[in-house]
Amino acid sequence: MARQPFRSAPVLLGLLLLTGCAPEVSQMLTPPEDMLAQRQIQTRQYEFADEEQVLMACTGFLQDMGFQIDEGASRLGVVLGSKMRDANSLTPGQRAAVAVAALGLVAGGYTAPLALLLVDKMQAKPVRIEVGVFTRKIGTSGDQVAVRIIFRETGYKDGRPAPPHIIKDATIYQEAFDRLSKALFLEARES
Amino acid sequence: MKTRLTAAGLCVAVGLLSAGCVGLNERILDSQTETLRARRIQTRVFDTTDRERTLRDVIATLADLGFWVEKADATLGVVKGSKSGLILTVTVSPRGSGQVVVRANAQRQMSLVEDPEAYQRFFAALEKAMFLTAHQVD
Repeated sequence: MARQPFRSAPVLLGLLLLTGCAPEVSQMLTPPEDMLAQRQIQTRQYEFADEEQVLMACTGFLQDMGFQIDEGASRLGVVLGSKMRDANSLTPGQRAAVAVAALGLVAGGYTAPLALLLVDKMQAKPVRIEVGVFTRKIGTSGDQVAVRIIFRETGYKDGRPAPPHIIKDATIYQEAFDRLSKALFLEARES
Repeated sequence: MKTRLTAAGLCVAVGLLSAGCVGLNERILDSQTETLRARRIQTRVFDTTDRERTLRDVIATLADLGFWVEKADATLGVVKGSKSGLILTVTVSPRGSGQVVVRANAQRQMSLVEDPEAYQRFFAALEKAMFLTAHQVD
């Protein structure tokens, strides 16, 4: 009877070790190693004197990409947006075809387990995509505006959101800035 | 033996049940937190009059640290960001004629972050962005 408590000791120890896995707050507030590289990927400079005009062009550019505008703080050069999308690349027609194929596999009897693999292909994979746009006047004469764009994605599993992660793929940012450059070019021509 | 064990179990259960709840006062007003100490570790003073520029530096610092900026308000002087369950609210207010006070307030899971080192790291990053030296608040 007296030895009973020791049986739970490994469990308690395991729990304590698990809680130790969360990163320290001070660590989370330390600049990450790739900070400068990320800043470079996420930032472009434009020859524009009017920051407000750039911010407005950014808002239009976000709408062009299907984002809803959630927050705007123009005095601080901030626009935040978000959208929900389906990460499953199959069209409804293709999904119907997959469903037919799955039925065929089920009908085949011994091939039925393979149908389970196809079920995943038919389901929607909702993802929430968020964007933050930050503008800032730079340059000694203040005739340039730096634009920083940051994308973040949140996946869902069984209806619950997974931890969000910041998109670090440089090609995504390159394409976004190409599109923004075009929007700004049009803005400059129209004004 | 069995009765004694049951009695002991009941005592522990009653003790845990009565001690298991944080009082309303403590929950809402954080009355157990040492206000002055918290204020000291969460606050720095910078020699600048440009409040808006300081707010923009806070936004840039949060972005550099991998935080997601959720809110920003120039009038109130507030920026709020989050990163992996850590929420940080930073306020910038004027102090005298030539300074601004920056206060950072971090919350993780269900408690206030009280580790001075954590705030020190944030202010060190902000200092670099501002090219200014932060002073401890008097």
